[in-house]
Amino acid sequence: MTGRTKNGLVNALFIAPYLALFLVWVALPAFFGVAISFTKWNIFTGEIGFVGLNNYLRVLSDDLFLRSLLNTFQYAALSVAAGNAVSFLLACGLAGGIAGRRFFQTIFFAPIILSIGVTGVIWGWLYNTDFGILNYWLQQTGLPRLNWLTNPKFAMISIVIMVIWAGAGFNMMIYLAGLLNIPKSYYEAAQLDGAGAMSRMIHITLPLMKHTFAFTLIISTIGAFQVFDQPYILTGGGPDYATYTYVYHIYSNGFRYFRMGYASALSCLLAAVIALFSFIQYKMLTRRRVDY
Amino acid sequence: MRAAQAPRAWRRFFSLFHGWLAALVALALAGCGGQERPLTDLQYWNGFVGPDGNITEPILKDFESKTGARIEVQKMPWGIYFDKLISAIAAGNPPDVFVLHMSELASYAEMGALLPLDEYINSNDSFCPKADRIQSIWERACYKGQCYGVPLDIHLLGLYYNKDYFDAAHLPYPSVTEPLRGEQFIEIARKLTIQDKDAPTSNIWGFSFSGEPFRNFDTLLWQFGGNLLTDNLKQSAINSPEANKALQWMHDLVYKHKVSPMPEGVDTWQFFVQGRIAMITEGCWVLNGLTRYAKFRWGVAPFFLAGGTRAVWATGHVLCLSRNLPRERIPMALKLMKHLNDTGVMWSTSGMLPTRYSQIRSKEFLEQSRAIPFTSQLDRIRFEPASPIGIELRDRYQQTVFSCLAGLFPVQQALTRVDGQMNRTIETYYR
Repeated sequence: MTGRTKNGLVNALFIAPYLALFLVWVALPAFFGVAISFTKWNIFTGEIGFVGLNNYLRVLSDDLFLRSLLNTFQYAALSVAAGNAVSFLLACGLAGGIAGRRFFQTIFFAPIILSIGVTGVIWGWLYNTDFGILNYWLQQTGLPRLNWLTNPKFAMISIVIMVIWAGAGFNMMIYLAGLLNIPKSYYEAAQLDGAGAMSRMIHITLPLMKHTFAFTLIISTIGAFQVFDQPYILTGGGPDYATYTYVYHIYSNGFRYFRMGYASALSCLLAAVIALFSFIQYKMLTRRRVDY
Repeated sequence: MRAAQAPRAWRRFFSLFHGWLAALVALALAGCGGQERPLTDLQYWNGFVGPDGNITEPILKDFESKTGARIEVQKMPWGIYFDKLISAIAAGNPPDVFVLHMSELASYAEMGALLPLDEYINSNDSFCPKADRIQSIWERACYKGQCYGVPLDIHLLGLYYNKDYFDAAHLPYPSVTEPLRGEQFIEIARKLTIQDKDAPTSNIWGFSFSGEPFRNFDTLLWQFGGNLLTDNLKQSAINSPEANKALQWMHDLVYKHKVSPMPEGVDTWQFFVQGRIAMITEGCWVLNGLTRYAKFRWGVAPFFLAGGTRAVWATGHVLCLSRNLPRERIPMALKLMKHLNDTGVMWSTSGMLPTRYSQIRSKEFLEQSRAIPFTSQLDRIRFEPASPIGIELRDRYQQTVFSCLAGLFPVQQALTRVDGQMNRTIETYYR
């Protein structure tokens, strides 16, 4: 065995633990999930029968399939756009040399360590129409109260606000790392050339942050399509299914109504949607290479 | 040089990962070893994470000292509990004894998850004398003529009220045995409601439905003479004049009489604890929570009577065994179930009611005066229909009831809508 082969073997062994876990906990279940989607499977007795494409065709007659999918798109659009905008703005603020940067970094990041259960309960109380502090403040300023969680127009937005509060700190850290990585000399040179703040942002910061944006947007979109806990805790999918998301629908079918085959089919369709969106996003965001 | 690098890399690899690999192997062995528990090591899974969880401890200790068994209790919030339970049963490694609600039993039994228990508990009186069983409750542990569980308790709704507010409004306390009539209740709620736009922090609602709205809707639906499903459980019966009256009655409390906020979330009883609501309808399971947290005097009365039929929503915890439980583990699991049922009076300090006449008439139980409003309603308890898709149907009409009370749909439109949804769900299931 040559030294090169040995090294290759050693390198392979380094990734072997992860690969083994990936195969056992991700690849195998995923394969199993695809296989189940073509069956009617009783999870308790193990009885299983091949039903062909029936589970996939069932989505056509399932009124909650389309509803939950559209809700998820709405959530993804709102949370990815607003969430990343907030994270980026926070990062810009911190990267600008603000005093006490580490303190603010910690403050903005802190909500991430809270469990979604705790966050959900706290925000449920804040949003309560009659007893919540948000409506109390609105009333104090002479504004009408809002039915944050009981009006279908606001319910999803309310969830997005909570999610941004709870999670903006994570992307903020990634953006901050990206921003601090841009050499100061670029900005100094641009300033000498008379470029203003907006111009520096458009011509230096944004192009150089392209790959960071690609990463955070793709990760955020994948996460947004998988949203479940937040509406489950905060609204129970209501009012009138306005916050009933796609993964909520998968969960209900699989673990509440025991339709494992159908839940698996729904999961496969979601995986396809996520893959498609991630691919489009990646292609759009990395079309041109930027180097200075 | 390269030849020297390779062994170093190997050493580095093992130094980095040997602990991790050992942990993995240990985990795998632990997983495989689950089946080899001694027969006296029992696993008991439940969702009693509230104050009720503490009450199980002395009961189980007593069992351990009497039998020499060792009980491993797993308590989880109900949402997580069911996910884990399903996985454990499916993996062929179920707990020895686990708890379901009566409303879930039909789905699990229909799916073949539960072990039929007739031969163990109904063949003779040694498990529990038949004459001692409150039949209407024990029947709810059966499905399609077969018994799948042993009732641990029964729990139902009552009307909780703030005595301080009643005193301030010079109102007499409601009876502990006779329900308030609908009009009486509305009048009281009106007198207790204080809404001042200029001082919103001092606002008090006279009443609020608490918990999940379906429990209150079910109660009122039955009181007005309606039903959720037809007798054969194969068609929705929710689009009826009786259902209209029930939902309209709830709707009027919010929008016509303006004595109640719209239901929002399931923790409304906490606003009662904070003194923001004067009366709530809640289950007997909050008794200990209120005792601990409420800083005012409070009382309980039977659920009010809005319609012409006495009825109140009820359910219960049922002790079950999995069909996958190895046969040799069944005798000890049955002993534990019997012990838990035998100690119903002790368990009733959690707020739940026992399921045997001898226990409910016992001196120790009768000394718990707070239980009287609930025991006085035992003659009118009603249960959700034992449909194999009961959970899905309930999810459907719960959304509609909630949406209607949130002002999204007029009452009749809501009922027509959910009637169609429920019938489609039923058709799809039986197709």
